[in-house]
Amino acid sequence: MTRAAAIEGALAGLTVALYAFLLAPVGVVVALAFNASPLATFPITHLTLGWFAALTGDPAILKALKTSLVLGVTVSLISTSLGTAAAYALARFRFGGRDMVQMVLTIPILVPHIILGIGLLLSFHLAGLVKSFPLLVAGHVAITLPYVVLTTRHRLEAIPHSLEEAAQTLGANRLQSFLAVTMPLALPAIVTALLFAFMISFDEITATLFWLPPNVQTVPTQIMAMLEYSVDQKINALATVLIMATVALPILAILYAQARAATSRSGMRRT
Amino acid sequence: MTRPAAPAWAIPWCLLAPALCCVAAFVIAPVACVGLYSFWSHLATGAVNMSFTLENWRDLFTDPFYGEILLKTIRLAAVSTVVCAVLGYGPAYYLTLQPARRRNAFVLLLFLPSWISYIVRSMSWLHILGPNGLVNTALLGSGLVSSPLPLLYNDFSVYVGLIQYLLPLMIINIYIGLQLIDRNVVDAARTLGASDAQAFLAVTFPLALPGLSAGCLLSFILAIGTYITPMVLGGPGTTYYGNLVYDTVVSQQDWPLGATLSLVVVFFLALSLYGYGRLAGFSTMFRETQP
Amino acid sequence: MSTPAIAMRSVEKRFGPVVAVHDVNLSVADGEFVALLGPSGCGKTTTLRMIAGLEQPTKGDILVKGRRVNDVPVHRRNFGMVFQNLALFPHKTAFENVAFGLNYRKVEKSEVVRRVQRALEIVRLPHVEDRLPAQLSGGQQQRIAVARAIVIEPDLLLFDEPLSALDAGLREEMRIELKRIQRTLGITTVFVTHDQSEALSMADRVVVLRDGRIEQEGSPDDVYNRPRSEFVARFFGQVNELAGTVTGTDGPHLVVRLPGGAAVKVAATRAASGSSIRLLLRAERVQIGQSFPREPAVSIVTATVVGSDYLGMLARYTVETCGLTLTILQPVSGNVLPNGAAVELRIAANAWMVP
Repeated sequence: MTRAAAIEGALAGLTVALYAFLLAPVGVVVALAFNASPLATFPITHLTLGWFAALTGDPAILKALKTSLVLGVTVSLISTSLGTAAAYALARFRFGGRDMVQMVLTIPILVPHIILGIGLLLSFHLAGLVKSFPLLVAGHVAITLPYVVLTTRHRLEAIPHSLEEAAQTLGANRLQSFLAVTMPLALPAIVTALLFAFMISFDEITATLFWLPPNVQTVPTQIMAMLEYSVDQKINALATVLIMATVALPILAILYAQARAATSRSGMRRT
Repeated sequence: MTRPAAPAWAIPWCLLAPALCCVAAFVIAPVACVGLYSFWSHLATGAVNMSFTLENWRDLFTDPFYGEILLKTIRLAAVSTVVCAVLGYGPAYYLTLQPARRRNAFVLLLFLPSWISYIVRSMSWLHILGPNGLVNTALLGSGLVSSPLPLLYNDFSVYVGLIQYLLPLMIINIYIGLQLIDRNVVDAARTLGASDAQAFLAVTFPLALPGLSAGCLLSFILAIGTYITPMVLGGPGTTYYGNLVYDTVVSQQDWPLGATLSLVVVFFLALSLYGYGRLAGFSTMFRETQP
Repeated sequence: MSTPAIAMRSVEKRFGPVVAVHDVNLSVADGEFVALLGPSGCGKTTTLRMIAGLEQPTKGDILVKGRRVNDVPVHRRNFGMVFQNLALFPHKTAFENVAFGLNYRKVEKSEVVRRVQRALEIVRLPHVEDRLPAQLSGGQQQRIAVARAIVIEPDLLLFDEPLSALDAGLREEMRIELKRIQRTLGITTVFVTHDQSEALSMADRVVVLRDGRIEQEGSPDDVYNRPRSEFVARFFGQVNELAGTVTGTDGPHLVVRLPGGAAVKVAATRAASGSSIRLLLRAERVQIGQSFPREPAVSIVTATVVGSDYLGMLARYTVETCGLTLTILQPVSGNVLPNGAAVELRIAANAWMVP
């Protein structure tokens, strides 16, 4: 075997091992959730859906699920609207300070969630507001906004400006040309951004722990609270629900984007 | 005559205003608040005394307790970052060797863990490292050990959990850095007489350095502020700086002190950004990377 | 004189410190086909976009049929525009693309269908209604873009280098097509191009631009044969440059002595004997052959062939004479003259251009 092939083989082995390291633990949680034994241990003897059923009987868990869903939908709608508008402005217009604005909108990604958590808590307090649902919404919007801007801006820049100009020469005003031409072509990115924003909000825990109003939990914080007692199977079941929801969404987004990709790459000559 | 349209210059700002207001109100103002609160003090009643004082800062610098924890956390962040960089470089390079379809599948799998909540990723180790967990069950079953190894609720499990969290980010960043290299440059080196290893060291590695630096920067910053992994996977003696901040703010409700402590994290963020800027060039910092 | 279809008066366009268009004054008559011609960066596309309303002039007025349109937004100007990259809507069928403008003009559904079909017939593409742009060839996409622009019955047709990305054969074909369509519909047309042969073959009037200013405007014959500046002369075809000294006159012509001794007769205005003069000579205005009869308004110069390129319809010769190297284009019949051949060059007195 040549040296190059041996090295590639070794790299392949290392890659597979590391991927196993990254993905297996999560797989374990999912596997255990179906385990009949009430102790979260191996070996897996019988399979059951009982733990998922038990979730529906637990009012705290149902409340957390509802909170997470409402929060996720609210946040993703707000974030996507604001972020897409901003991305459109950045992609289509030349104006002074554009780079600065781009930087300002992207910076929140770099701010550690622990700082965001404390900061927003303190500024709400300073403004005389108490911990409430709007605080959660505000914080999650702040966290998801940069991702929306990045995702949609990339796509918007790929749509040639001349399409909107052509629509305008044909009689559509700015808004009409945006709706008739740019929006349909940008839709895959907008939907992707929407789903990602929902996912990020649904998953969020590091900053959220600072903002929870009394008697309110999101699914991740509920899991965290339950862990303080014991590692029982309901936690695994709930975690599995969380995994399914947040992995299914990006996959849906990708499939949707691919399905639409065929139409968007057409009609333009490369100049 | 037609109704005059909105002035051309105003339109982009109208579109940007809501997003910018959000960032100003929910990110910039809060960070400023943290600075502000660090100069106030906490009253026994739970309220905040809004008169200027340096006592929080004095405590931070004089009490050795904080310094110890900070050093411990820096060590955690540094070690995790180095381990991730060393472990992650191979797979990142391997990915670049793959044909497009397989590469996309690999990249997708790499992003998959990041779509799963942090809490789930951390807690999953409980089932693997615990006395009845996967590892110990296998070891006991095969007779390699006679009693379960203490792999959980200690520094070991914290490091493992943190590395699992940081590794995908590191691999992706290194991979992006490698992808940006023009293939022809490496081939040119080889036609000029460099062996594979020499070409890698002389050409590929230096050119991919921005990616590696970005990965290290990200890992370090995330590790400094981590508190959930130590909380879930740690035990007695695994209090890290993030836990300290969390306890101070949430458990003790001492917000001024908590603000002061968290400013240290901001300081490290700035330091890391500066270090990255020096190493990889400040202009590469806001290059866009795609999820 | 009737009101011009378009009039631009002292129009200027600045982008920050850069002035793209300086003080342009232009009139286009009704039904006229005007080509804006020039090298890249000369301001021709900026000028077109100002007419369209996609850019606002920093100074000056743009009038359409006597009405000032500076403040009229793009979507109300009723101009049909064909963009360089065609800008067909990729997510709409050919029919929907062409019908697009009619949707904003309150046209009844049946009328829309009728007009779209008529437009497609004019561009000779009647059967592709349901196809997406991606399913059409380059030439077909081109025709759909034109159909989309004419279906709205615009006051003006604007073309921004629409043929530049087509291959040579298709480009030739489309030139003829576009000219035919314009003649049929009689719509005033402004056509931007950097290709001089395109401008010469299609336009009623050519406007040559350079660095944001109009160098010369006139019929294709005017700008080609009576260039008013060296830039315009050099822009079209291939031009030789020579320098010589005026030694006197011979009847109506100047006699100029070229370096190397040969004397040529030049049809030009008086110039002082002894003064130096620069001359331009188009490559195709020189005839090359074994020997020519001597004629009064003609100069004969001996030369040697040092190189030749066979271009199919023409041969391009490089010859040396009087210590100069000249390029000559000549229709080819039979064989190309070999290197080293001694030849005579026949140059009419009025073939010379004095810049």
